[in-house]
Amino acid sequence: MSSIAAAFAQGLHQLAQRPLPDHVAREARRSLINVIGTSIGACKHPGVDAIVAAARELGVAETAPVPGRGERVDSHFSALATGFAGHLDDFDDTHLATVIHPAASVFAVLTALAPDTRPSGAQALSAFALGCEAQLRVGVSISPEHYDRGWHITGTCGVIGCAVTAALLFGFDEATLAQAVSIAASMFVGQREAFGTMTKPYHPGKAAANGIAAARLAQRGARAAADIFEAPGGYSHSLSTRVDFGQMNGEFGERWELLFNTYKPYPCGIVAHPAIDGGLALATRIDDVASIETIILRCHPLVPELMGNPQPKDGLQARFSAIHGVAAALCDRQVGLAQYEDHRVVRDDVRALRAKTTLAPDASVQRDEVFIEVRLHDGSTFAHHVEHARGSLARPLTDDELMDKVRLLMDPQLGNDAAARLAAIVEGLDAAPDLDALFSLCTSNKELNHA
Amino acid sequence: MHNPAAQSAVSDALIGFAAIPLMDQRAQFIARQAVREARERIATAGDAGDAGRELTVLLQSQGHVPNDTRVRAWVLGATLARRAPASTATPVLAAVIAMGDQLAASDDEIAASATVGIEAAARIFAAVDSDEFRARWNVASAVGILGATLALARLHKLDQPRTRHALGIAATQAAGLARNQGEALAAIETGKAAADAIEATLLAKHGFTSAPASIDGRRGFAALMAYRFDAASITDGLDTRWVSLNFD
Repeated sequence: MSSIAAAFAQGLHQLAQRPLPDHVAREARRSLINVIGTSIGACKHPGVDAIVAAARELGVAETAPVPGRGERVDSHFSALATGFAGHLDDFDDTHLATVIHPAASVFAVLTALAPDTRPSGAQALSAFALGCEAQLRVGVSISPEHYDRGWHITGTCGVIGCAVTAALLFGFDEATLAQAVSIAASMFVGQREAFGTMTKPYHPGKAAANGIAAARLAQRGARAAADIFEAPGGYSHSLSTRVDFGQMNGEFGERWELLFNTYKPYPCGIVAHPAIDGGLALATRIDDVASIETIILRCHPLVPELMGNPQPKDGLQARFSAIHGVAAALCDRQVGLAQYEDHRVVRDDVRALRAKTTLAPDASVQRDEVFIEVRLHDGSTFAHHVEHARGSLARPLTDDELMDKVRLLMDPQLGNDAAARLAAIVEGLDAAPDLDALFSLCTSNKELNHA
Repeated sequence: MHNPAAQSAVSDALIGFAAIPLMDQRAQFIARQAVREARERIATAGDAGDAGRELTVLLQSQGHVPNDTRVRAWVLGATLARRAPASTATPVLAAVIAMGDQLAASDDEIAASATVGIEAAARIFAAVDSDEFRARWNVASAVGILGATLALARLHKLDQPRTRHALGIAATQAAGLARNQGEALAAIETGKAAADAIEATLLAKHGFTSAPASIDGRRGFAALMAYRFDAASITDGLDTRWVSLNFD
């Protein structure tokens, strides 16, 4: 009987031999655009600075890019920095059933290895999609117990998907692909104790670096135990007490977990998103926010519980305040990273609106639903019902909405038409002979940096 | 939502221990000897045309430049683990030798760092040791990374907050699987713990942050990987009683 790793590699390798189905390729392109946006949006974060500084101190080679920046580092540190930035702020994609954020780590592998492996656009998109699919399949096979216990599933399963992406970029045969994922199994990374610190987004970065390391070891003949997933003392049973290998290896080519990937429109917890949708819906109908007397949000009870901060004092606290999200939506008519900058959060206009806002929890309201009612001083009222929040499975982000998000992330870093150029490049990826255009767009323009 | 603990007596004790003035002559003597033996084993590893050279070539694929200290620590750790039974001290020795050489640290500084790292790792292992723990993880890599990181924090003279962050970055990636024992990969896992400790230390040095209670927090190292946790095994008599003196 073939081992779990062998069957897993066989399923993935077969999928890699033919073009991605159109609907899968489409979702992969959306996922790629989204994560390029988030990794560039966060490229100037002090955590990325620390990663680049550590690389400099080690004197590593300057071979691979860091999206959004001018520096080059080696593939290891490129993977760390890219995966970190992609997942920072939890603004990347989410596979709701496992809560894996699959794209940041896999895009980091692509970024780190593109200079060495020079894939065509179609090869790159396939390696990206199958790396996402692989880690999501591992994730569902050990969910929900694995995450509930405290493992950060984005890193622990991400490392397997990253080994797959690296192996496909290197052009491995099926047996070497099996070795790459088997070696990666003992390089799991991520404990949830680190949530709220830079170490959380470090997990997908390290998953990427480890996945590359595992593939390089496999390429040179290193071997893990053949039954590393299913054996006692192996990956799956050490990391979860409930394991279903059918979820990992069943229905390859028929069931695509990647299709259940979702994209967040706003850089805060998903629980606050319906309320922000409501705020944005009314923002265009209310000319002067100073005319507002009260705002009432009838919402799911989790909103006050998880997102109930009435007057956040900085950007981090604001990420746990649905009330701030609504106030920012009404004032700025958009909710992106700028609305969570420390200085934006403490300005008088949003403070005043937050003070006028009431959360009215109602158990009959769904988690992705909200009723918002705004009353003006002159007695007039505006109401809106959000049935399903943007970015939920029932109401996925449209391509235009996704581009609105990516524009707010990319253009401030790379110039005014960067997101539009990215969209064109990703749309034409199937025909692209290489990724040069993609990475030259993603690499920072020095003059703009000094502006 | 999980609100991580803001403080940890276990972390405080380990971080304080990493920086103490070393008074115990026996502990230092044994560490100096361990470093010397490790250097000898490393020096002879490539000579015989045996697995040592193969391992070096294998792992040098991980970096693009010949003297990358992170990759060198990996090679040294894997080499040591290949040539003698690995213990939680193995990643510590590999990490302090690789980093000590890069920093041109004195033999005394390297030995002192090894002393605290080996002792810290031995105590953390005592706190979590059980049949279930040994049945799941590569003990040398999963625990050794913590001692190696504390040793490197001393070698780099990191302040207490940075040492705490370094320990957190290390704890979150404690890894290695028991199933690979007996495979050549086990030595590579153990060496990787030394490489990861170097990375954790340098990231913290340059401002990276991590969990305050990375060892004993509700979603931390012990909660996820251990089946018992005896904090006193780490904190009791730290600096006056040396449990690692009973080890090889």
